[in-house]
Amino acid sequence: MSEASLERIPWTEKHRPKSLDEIVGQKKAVEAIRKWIEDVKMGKKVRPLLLYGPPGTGKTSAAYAIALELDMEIVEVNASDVRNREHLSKLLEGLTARSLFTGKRRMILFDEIDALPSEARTIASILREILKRAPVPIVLTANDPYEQGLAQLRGLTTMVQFTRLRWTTVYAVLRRIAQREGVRLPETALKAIAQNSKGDLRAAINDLEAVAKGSRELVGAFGRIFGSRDVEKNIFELMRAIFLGKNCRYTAWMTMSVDVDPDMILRWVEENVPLVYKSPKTLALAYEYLSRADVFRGRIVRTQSWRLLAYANEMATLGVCSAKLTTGEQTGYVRFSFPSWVKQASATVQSRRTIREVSLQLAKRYHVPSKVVAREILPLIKAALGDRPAKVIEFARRHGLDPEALQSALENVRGVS
Amino acid sequence: MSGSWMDMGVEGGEVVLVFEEGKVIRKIVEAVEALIEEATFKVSPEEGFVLQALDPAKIAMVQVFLPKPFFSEIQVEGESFFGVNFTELAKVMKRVKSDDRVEFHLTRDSLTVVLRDGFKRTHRLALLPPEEFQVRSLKVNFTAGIRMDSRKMPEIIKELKGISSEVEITIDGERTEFAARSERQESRITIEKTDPIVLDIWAQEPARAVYGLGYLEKMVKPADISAEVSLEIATDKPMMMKYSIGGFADARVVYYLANVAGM
Repeated sequence: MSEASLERIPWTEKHRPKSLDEIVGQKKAVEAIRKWIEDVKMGKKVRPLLLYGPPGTGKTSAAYAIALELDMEIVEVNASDVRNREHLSKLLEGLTARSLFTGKRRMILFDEIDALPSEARTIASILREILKRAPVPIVLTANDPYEQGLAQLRGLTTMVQFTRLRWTTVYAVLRRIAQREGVRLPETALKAIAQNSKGDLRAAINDLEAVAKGSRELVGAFGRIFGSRDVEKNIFELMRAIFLGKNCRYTAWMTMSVDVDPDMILRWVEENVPLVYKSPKTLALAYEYLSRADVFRGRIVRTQSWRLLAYANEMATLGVCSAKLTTGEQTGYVRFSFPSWVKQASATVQSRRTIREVSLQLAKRYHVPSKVVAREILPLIKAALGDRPAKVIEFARRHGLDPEALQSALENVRGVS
Repeated sequence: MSGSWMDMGVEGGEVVLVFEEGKVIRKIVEAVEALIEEATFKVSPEEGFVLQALDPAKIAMVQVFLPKPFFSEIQVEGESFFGVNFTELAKVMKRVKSDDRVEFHLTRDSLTVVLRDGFKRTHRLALLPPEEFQVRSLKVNFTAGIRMDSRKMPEIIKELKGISSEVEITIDGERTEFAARSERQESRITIEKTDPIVLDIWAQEPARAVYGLGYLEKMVKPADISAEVSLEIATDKPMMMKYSIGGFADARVVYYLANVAGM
């Protein structure tokens, strides 16, 4: 129940800054506010504080943070209260009383006073009345304090400006929230939300929540498998387009919209070429394109020239697709296969890791590359120690290795001969 | 929220409360209405009628306890909550004369007030969604108090209201003092332990605190249906004001009021 109700709190509330320190990108404003708080604490007579600036820059959050620092409870007065005289007088009557259950003193927040410019005059007179009656701290917020009607209010208050947030600041906050919420979104998505927000953090957080909850609900509704199956469906579609399609431009275009990394596409094509293409001519052509794609891939890895990716991709997709058109081979439907290399790699990931770890440790000792240890030395050790656990343990001790890790590395390494 | 209306006896039949003295229930409704527009009350076979409501500014709380013997007739199967707009109910109750017999007939979504004085008048009100509650009390250790004739309380408050919006109450073992100050005037009302209106004045520790007269004025409404009021305070802490109603054991209206912040 409590978890469920927590879930219903909008993220803009849930992640609202709890203290002035948590308010981002408003250094000057926060300094001015601190000064004002000091004055209130010292019992000085202070003017009401008018926080102004674009939406979503932290004004209301600052007001609540002020209440926290002063250990007071906020009485919020909004535009409709100002109109309802009776309600207002009730509110004002209670201002000097402490809160019944918390025993805290109160401060007043007039939020978004420029929402009703016609009431500015009324607000000004209410402010004067309150100030005359009791020294209650008052905070007001406004987007544009230079609105015509607000002239009187400006004269009564200490003004503090909140500036539009930079997108990088918004981005940093979004990333922190995404992390706390356990939401995995691509950096590019966060960046897009941040830039789109035009410095309005509240809007950005709302967008983030919508995006995150949208995707999470989908996964929740259809199960995790649906998520990965969606990607697979895409890759199968791509395979169909490559091996069965007549329009290879469309195939190349599809590559861009498939959410699979280029290496993986290459593996898929590689795996399925011999399954679909039967004529030697077509096979030769297809492998020609694939090998060129692989060459480009190697260049990319070596030189990090990612602009070459377009060539690698087109060779693997458009190229392999066109092979059958060139030779005129008719292709029929087959069951496309998952790259076997990937299957093997994921099955052996654990054993490869222990081999690598053991090799690294031995490599330091023998002053040879760890690859040499894995390829040449470990098989020798395996041959020498064989299946005598006592010897393995003794060897491990002497070389400062974990006996179990060594044992498992030896089990998984290829033998000599 | 838990326990649906089904198993609360409302479906099985309406909940009925019958009061013989119209004036008493009218005053109780007015007392609640003075503080709060909407409130939820509970009716149960064990506790009778229980109401608890906090005013929107979170400064005052009112509780009404009317145990079963208070009613000439009570019909209820399980615990049920009813949300009522007291402003509307108070308007209906204005029509109640002192000797009227008043019946509340409560169903899932309506309260029918039946008034009988020679003939029958019926007023049906729509109910609000109830907000279930548990009776809570304030965690304040009241160190001093006075029990006195309740009819004097409205007079005291009224006299001071003309001078200030706040009253300072001081209670020690011997006397209770109400003081109000303005720029040009200071007024004191002193009640000695030996005064005839006093039933008891006590103090574990003398106490002094300031309260808003605007709220106190609303909290003296039950005075004329009660013989005795008990006021308890602690230094710079909220107060409790309790009226016992019409000689029924445990029938009472209890108020809690936050103190005014000392500057």
